[in-house]
Amino acid sequence: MLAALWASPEPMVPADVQAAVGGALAYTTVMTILVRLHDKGVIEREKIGRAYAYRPVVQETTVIAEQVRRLLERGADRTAVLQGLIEGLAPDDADMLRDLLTKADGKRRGRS
Amino acid sequence: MTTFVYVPFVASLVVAGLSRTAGRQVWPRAAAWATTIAAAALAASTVGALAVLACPVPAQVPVVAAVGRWRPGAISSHLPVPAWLSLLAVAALLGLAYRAARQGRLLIDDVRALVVAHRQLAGCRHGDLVVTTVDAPHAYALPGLGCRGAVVVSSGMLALLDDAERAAVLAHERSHLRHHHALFELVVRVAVALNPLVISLEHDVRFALERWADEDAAAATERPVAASALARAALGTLGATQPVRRFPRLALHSHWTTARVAALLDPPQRRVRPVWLLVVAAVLAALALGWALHDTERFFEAARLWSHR
Repeated sequence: MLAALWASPEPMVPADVQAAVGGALAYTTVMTILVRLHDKGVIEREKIGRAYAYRPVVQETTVIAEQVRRLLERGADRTAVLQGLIEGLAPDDADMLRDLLTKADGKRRGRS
Repeated sequence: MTTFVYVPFVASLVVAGLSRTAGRQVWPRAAAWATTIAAAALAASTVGALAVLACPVPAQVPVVAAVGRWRPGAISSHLPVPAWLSLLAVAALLGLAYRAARQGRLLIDDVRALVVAHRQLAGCRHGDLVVTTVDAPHAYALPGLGCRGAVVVSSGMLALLDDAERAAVLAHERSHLRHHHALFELVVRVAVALNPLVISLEHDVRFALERWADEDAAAATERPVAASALARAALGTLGATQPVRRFPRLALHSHWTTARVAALLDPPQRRVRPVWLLVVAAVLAALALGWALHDTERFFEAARLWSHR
């Protein structure tokens, strides 16, 4: 359904959304999902005539990235499939890291 | 049965104790290989040793005894190891079977998640790169499953870094993909599930893999560039809700990232030897298991003779 909204250049009224997803969902179901997405802030709506028209708020990759990240992160222990650059940082390590960063920047300037 | 059957357990404890010290200040590529090989060999030999210790229990079951052509009584009157130890080994094997099954299910979940992730990202890839419009700084490598892997970087991460640092981050993630680091992690996860004595190796291998990718990033750019990229990215995640991973026994740097940045600011380490000690210990464990298996075979031959006297 989100894909349908992204594909459309214009905001869509629920009937259009229902048609775009192939009419497999009942109108009320489409409405329910749209309202829920709106509550979550994923889509926004504006009044056109008597109905609301919906369009996505966020850019496409943001939601996909969120979905992918959630898929791959399992609870507090990140999964092995995610080889992230960094593993989170405790606040007390930050000072030491800042020192190291200053040192690294110094070395870089010394070289160039 | 000889004392050889206990060698794999002792070797596991020794390797677990040595690996963090041996893995430090060593060429990370060698550390990753040696630690992974040691973990796999130790897992196989401890499971084998448990099977040797446990076998008198099933051997006394009438059906098994009939197939093996010995009398159950011939086993129980010549027990090679104390009965309580055999029962303990049976219990341990059952526990390990449960752990392995659970790990197997997690692996299946991971593969499914990866398949879905690749499908989701298929539309937004530029070659092997996906840039997501996310403000939080993320960068990670998605291993390919038959297809090409992908490097996912958020726009928030790119905004933190200058051009040279971005190149370093991409080189880091591409190194994970090119050298199949996910397979190392897979082997270690399974090995640790089967041999909880070496649970710390999982941690050590992950650290070695990150260092390996860091060194590749440094080779693609320059050491200080790779160091500043890593430090800046890490500082950028402060306050973000990411799990904190401690690095307990490394006194100077309590944290992985700090240790990695510090290593990049030092000259490259090419030492290899300390880490091969781990492989030697694991090979000794495997040889000892071979000896114990040989002894077990002779024991059952003897049991047949006692039964037919």
